[in-house]
Amino acid sequence: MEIKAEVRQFIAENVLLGVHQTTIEDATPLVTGGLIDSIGLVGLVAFLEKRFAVEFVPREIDVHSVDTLEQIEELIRKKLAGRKVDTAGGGQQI
Amino acid sequence: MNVRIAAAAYAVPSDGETVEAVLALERDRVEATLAPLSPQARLKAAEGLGLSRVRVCGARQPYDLVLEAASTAMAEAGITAQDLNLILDYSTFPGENSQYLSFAHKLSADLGAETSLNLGFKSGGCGALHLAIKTALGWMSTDESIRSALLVTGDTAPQGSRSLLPVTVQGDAASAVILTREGTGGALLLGVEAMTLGHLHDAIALVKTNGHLEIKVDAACMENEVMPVYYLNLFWLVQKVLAASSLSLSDIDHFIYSNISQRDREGFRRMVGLREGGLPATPMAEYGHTFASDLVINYVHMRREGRILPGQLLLFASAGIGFTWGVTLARA
Repeated sequence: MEIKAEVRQFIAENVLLGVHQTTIEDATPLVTGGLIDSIGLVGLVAFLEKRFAVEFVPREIDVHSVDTLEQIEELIRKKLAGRKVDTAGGGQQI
Repeated sequence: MNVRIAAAAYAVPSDGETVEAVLALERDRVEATLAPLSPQARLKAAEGLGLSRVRVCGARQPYDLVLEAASTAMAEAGITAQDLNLILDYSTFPGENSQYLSFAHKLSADLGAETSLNLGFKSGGCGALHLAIKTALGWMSTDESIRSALLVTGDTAPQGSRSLLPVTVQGDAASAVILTREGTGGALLLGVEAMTLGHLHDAIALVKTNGHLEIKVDAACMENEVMPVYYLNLFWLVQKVLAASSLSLSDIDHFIYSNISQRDREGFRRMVGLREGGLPATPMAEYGHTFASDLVINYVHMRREGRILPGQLLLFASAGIGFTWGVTLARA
């Protein structure tokens, strides 16, 4: 799964409104750089939750966890890994 | 539990100042607060406020306003002081010279509510109404003898601290809400959600400078730490309170949001997906931002104008210092 590519495309098409995806590098600061505002972040998090079937709780998201594509990918991978651990743990309990 | 907002009222002082005059008077403090921001952010700080004037206590004290608002709310609810089982004061800025343990205790004595349980807590600024409702519901759900609760807040900016730029400019006001578990009148509470993030407690803080209290805004923290998650956290709470009642945003008839600034209201409008102009007009231009009284003021105005009809769904939302987010859902 190419997380960064999918998120880059979503941001370019839905948040930045017309900015071509090649202008968003992996380390481009999205929030602190002013590319995504507070409302844009609402849409981005909703996309992440739906596309990658993960669920965030409020304290998980701050400006340091979703400021770049790299950070977003790391966040998603951690969530997916945690989900697998949870699933495995549940299986053992049964 | 069947608990309703039996009445709501507010009181504002008659004296006022223009926002322009406030910002001119506090120019040095404003410039120092905004100094860490970029030149562009500094320019934007005072744009889009939508606030023209603020009311100021002058010779009156916040407690005088609280007493007025409480008396009006009790008359509207048709209850006497003896009917009050709980008085809860959730003022954030009750006045530097307030001599009372809490407004609740003083109100209890002045109203003659001799048997009321009197409590006070300070939390949440604009978001404190939700915390107060949730606290009252907790008491009501664990103590059957508490059938009516009076929730009050009275707030005044410390001298020379009306500007909270880049956020808002504060006016003085008080408000009162009466919750009852009897009767059929008033909006039925369906759910309340609140959250706080303690690591953001310094974003807007009270500090003592030269022996006087001052509201200190950490503009960089507001811009870089609070604002990125401001609507996200609010949105989460909205979704949570709606999901608990099997409702969605499209079911809501009226969104009742705070008067921090017009640009903040615009952000909330976008967050909930309302059309441009979809949020009702409020008296914010005349009163300024009045912390937790904003929601009560806006609710009272909507009712006075006949915009709220029986059966309609109301969603109250606000966020404030602490940092605190809150949402309350009710059916009129």
